[in-house]
Amino acid sequence: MTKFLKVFALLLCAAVLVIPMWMSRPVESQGATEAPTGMDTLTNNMVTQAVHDGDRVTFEERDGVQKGLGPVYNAQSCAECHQNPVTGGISQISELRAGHNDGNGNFVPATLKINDDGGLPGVTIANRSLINQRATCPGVVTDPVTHAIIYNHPNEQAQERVPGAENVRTRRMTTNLLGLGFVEAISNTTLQNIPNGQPNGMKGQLTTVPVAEAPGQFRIGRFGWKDQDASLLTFSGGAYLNEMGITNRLNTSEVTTLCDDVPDNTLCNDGSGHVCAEDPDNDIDAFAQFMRATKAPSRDAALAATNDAQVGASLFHAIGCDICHIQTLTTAPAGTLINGGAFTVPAALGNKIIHPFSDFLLHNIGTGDGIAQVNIPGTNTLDQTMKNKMRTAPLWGMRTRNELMHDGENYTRNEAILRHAGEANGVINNYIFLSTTQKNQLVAFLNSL
Amino acid sequence: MSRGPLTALLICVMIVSAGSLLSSCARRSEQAKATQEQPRAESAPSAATSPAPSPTPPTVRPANEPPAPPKPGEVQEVVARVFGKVANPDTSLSTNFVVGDFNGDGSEDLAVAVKADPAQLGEINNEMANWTLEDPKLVSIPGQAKGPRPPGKPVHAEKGDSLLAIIHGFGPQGWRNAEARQTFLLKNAVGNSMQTETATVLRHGKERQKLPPVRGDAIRQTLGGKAGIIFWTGAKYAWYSAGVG
Repeated sequence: MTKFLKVFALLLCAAVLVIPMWMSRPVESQGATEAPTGMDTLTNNMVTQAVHDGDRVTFEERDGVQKGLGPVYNAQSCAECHQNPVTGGISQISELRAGHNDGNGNFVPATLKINDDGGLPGVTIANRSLINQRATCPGVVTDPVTHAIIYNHPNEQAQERVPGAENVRTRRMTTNLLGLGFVEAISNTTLQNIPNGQPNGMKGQLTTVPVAEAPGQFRIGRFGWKDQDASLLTFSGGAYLNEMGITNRLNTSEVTTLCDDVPDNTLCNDGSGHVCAEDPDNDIDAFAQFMRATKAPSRDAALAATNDAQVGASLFHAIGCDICHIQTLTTAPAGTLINGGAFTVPAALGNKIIHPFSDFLLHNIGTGDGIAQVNIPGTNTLDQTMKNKMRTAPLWGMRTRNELMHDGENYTRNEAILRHAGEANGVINNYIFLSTTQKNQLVAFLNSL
Repeated sequence: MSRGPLTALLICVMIVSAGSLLSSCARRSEQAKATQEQPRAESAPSAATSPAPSPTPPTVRPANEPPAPPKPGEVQEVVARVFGKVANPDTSLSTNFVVGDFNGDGSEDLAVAVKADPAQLGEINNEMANWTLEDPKLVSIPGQAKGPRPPGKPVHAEKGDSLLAIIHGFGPQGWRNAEARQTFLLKNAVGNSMQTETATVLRHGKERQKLPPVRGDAIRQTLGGKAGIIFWTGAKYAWYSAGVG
């Protein structure tokens, strides 16, 4: 027995020595790794391929009036505007925004009337800068199988038309969504630190925007031409309502109820007891998950390997384009709570190095469309300081785009570069002094993105 | 005391100590695990930590300092700064330049008729030139019926063309600033009686209902027998004549 106790005591002593050593073993390297890239429909491993494909089907789903499409809308499917070269990419489609300036020069979103022809009193859509290009009525829709009428509004007129008084107008090109899960996973602090490294006169403006799925919570904006969203779920819910006219659990009120048949008080099918309106299956979650699981846009490897593109990359840096079109950012570590605590950065998105060529901040480069779109945090007052600023366009994937700048008004890379002024004036003057050969090298680099 | 009980006591103390240490380690381990599993929340945005946004570039001239009237020599200098030897002011016109804030950024711009050196037409038309060559009659007006987008063919300057160069100002010095180089070169845009029409007049005058939205001053003139204005759409310069008297 004594011998046993001695042996036991020795083993314990050994354990006492070894366990603390094991406990204090250095944590494995926290080094960031490159995010997966590709212009494909493969998952970035945030979810399985089967789940990603299922989300993509939902993202590509074409909705009709029975689902709640409209009454005013821009497209029937997310993929209608976000498809090139694969679902989630860009497209040639633009949306229209309008409003006017008041006596103090402050932007006021458009107010317009629909259904006011022939002396009808009409329905007012107030204080909304987005002007939808399509409407479901006048319209009569039959079921393709039974041929029964399923939507019957032949006489109502929901088409929005810009009134002459709403004379601040712009087009906005649809943006790329590939890789946005990584952008969402960039911490507030990372974005807040960027202006510290930018020279005076070129410091980007941050927006602070509400997170719809975390009421009362705010985050640094990063999505949309005005940095009006910070969360992909908020973005999904907003786009489902504003671009497709489909109410959802984050946006339960229609823009207009004229010729709208689908009730907005339907409960979610998940048994949560929440109102999901026209989206009882919570498609908005699938949209957000789809975007989060896409890879970052890849480069044209063959072109990127050319001497011209490589010299162009050096010139891009040398003349200062990357002061705002920042090449590299790193996402927050896996496990970080973001979106006001509503989302945890998963391993597939955490601590990843991405190359978006953007600072995701607002700048005045002389192209501002005059439209203020984000409220001063905690108020219902538009922040007018942003109206002539636009978010630095992320250049990743720009080789898939033909119409350039926020309004698609430029067709050549040179034209688009020369359109930069204001905060970018010094950088563009550097560009102007490049030789034609160097400019072509810079464009070769841009075309490789 | 015999060795047996002493050894047993020692072993006992060691067991208790080890048990205590192990227990402590286990507790720390659990705590550590719990800490690891508790997601770290990112810092909430704070106005205090957000640097002030970059001020809009200093463009607005103090109201009590009207810009000095341009002198032909200055205009010549600016044309040389932008075009080098590629183009020169068109001196065949009685009025070959006007100034105004055409893009509405608060900085004074210069519009000057120029002629390309016939030997340098290739430079003027170079796709990588330092100016944007366009025909304002082919530019669509936002929110109105669209013109041909994109233009059917690229705009080319020909020998003998008089072109309207609009050089955007930068900062309080406007077009006189050596940093002011952004230039739009307009074909089919040099007419008769060129003058600046202020944005205020355009927005509040008799014609305001007929005019497209303007962002700044415009160039009023007669082109091809039609009165109209050349104005900034936010991206390009467009020609508008319907309803302009």
